[in-house]
Amino acid sequence: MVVPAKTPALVRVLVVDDHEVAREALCDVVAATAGFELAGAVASGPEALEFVISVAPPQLVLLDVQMPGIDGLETARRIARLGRDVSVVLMSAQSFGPAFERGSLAVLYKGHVTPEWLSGHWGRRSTAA
Amino acid sequence: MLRYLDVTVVDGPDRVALRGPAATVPAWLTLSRLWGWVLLALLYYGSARFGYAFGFSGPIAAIVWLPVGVGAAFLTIGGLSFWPGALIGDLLADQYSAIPVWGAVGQTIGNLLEVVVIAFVVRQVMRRWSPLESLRGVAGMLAGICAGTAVSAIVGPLSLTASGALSIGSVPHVSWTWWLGDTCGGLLVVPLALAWSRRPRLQLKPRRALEAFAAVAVIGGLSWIAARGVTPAYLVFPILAIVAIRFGARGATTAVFFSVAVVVWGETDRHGHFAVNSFAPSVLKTQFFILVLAMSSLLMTALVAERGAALREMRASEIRAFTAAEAERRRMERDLHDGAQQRLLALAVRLGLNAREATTPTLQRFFAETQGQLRQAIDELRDLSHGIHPSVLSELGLADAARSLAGRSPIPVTLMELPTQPADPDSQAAAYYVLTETLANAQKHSGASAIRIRVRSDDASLSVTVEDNGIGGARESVGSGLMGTRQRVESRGGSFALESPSGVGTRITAVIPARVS
Repeated sequence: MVVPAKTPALVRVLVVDDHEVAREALCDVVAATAGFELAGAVASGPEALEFVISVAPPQLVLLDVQMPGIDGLETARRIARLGRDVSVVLMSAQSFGPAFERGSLAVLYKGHVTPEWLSGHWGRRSTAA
Repeated sequence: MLRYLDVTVVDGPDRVALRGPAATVPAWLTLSRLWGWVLLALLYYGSARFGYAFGFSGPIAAIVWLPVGVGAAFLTIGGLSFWPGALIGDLLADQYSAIPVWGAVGQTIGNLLEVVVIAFVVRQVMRRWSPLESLRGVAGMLAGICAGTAVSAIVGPLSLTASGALSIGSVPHVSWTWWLGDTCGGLLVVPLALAWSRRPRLQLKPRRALEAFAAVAVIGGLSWIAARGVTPAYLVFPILAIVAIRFGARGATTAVFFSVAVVVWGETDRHGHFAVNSFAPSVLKTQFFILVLAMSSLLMTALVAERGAALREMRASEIRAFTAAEAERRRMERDLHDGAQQRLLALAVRLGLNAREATTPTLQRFFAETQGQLRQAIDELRDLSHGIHPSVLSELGLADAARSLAGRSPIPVTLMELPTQPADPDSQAAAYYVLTETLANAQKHSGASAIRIRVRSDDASLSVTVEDNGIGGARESVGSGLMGTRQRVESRGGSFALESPSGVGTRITAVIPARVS
């Protein structure tokens, strides 16, 4: 009996950014990265929280720091409190310097989000897990 | 005559109805008003008796007629409806043994009109200006006092003439002396009462109390020496000016009253500076001295107060301008962040995606060069935006912004304390600029090997302290960053202190008023 090779499941990514042009560009990056699929794209913290507790939750959330209403930091805290198996990457249009990228709080410069970074980040996370 | 009120409760406990004989008691005749009449009558009568007892008031003339000030002040502060108290007080105070009854009655009518006119005018003035802290208010009050006392100075002597107590030829002279004495009384007491009737209540700290005590001692001493005729009474003027500057209306009016009391005592004792051969010229001189002293002090107080108010308004205006500028900077930074920066970032991301498809060396080089230029444009825009308003504050708050600065500093920075609660954006921006400027200063000039930062917040302020172990000797020169930082902090009503002893290091402390949430 020939057992068909199991296709590895795609990593579901949610993009959260209130700026439409940035959101669309990030969606393109996800779509262009092998092994990843776009679960959704929303423009605010509350929408992101709804998505995380939905029936088809994402495994990775690319989350903009500065958003009106509930900002990215607070949204990340609330996602963490939900206790779901979801990884959050905070992004900003600003570069805050090495302290932030090496310190306890990692904020990724949006310009660094590429297919290579996405694959690499997920690979490191999987190894760590 | 008052009767017992027949009170019936109707429609529940909150409503009462009055009926029967109680309707004969007018509504305006309240117990507090009656007490006010009694109190005013006693004060008026008491001040008149005080003048008679110490010999600076007589049945016709007085160096200072205090009751006019007492009555006018009471009606000004309490309301014109207390006039019966002044009437009763004046009837009690009249010296019926010295002047005919009808003369005394006319004199009383003049005195009553006098206090009512003064109170009416001063109350009208007070509706628009402060009678002590604005030049217009002082002018209005002086006009009211002069007008009111003129009424009494005309009615009183004419009544005495009609009753035969005074010859018609004496009327101009008596009216003049009368007016001066009453005006002196009004000028001494009305401002004094107005100054002390206002809030806030007196709060004298030990150092201020000592200063006040010294002023009282010097004024008392100079006035006493003048009263003995040793030195001119005008020596007290500079001290009164200082008191007006240091202690405002309360200090000035009290000091004038005290000084005049000592000088008048000397005059009535006939040894004072004004005591010359005849009584009348010396009285006139004393009265002119009192008028000049009181008016100068009142004008000085008003000038000082107006200057203080103008300074406060200027400071408030500076803060408003600074706040508006900060808001505009935040708006520009937000516009750059939301517009150009996002578009350029999206472009960079897409360019990166397409660069992967470039197969020929020419295309690869083109993409690499374009990406490099785009990255440079993004960096320049970010720096420009950061200069306008540090977006790190908007995104992460002051504490994380300070961590970011510390992380970028070439000299090791220890963060001793950071605020846990966010403050309002303007004060956070001011605190952030203190940090950036002082850190830049330390990095350029101090030669330090370590820097310590402490940012503390309480309910009303943000306190920023930056210390280094460098060579010290930092100075605020015109146009320097430190001078600019001081101006920025002080324009918000904060304080800025630089301690930089040579060879020891530098400590900069800025306290910025803030609304901490």
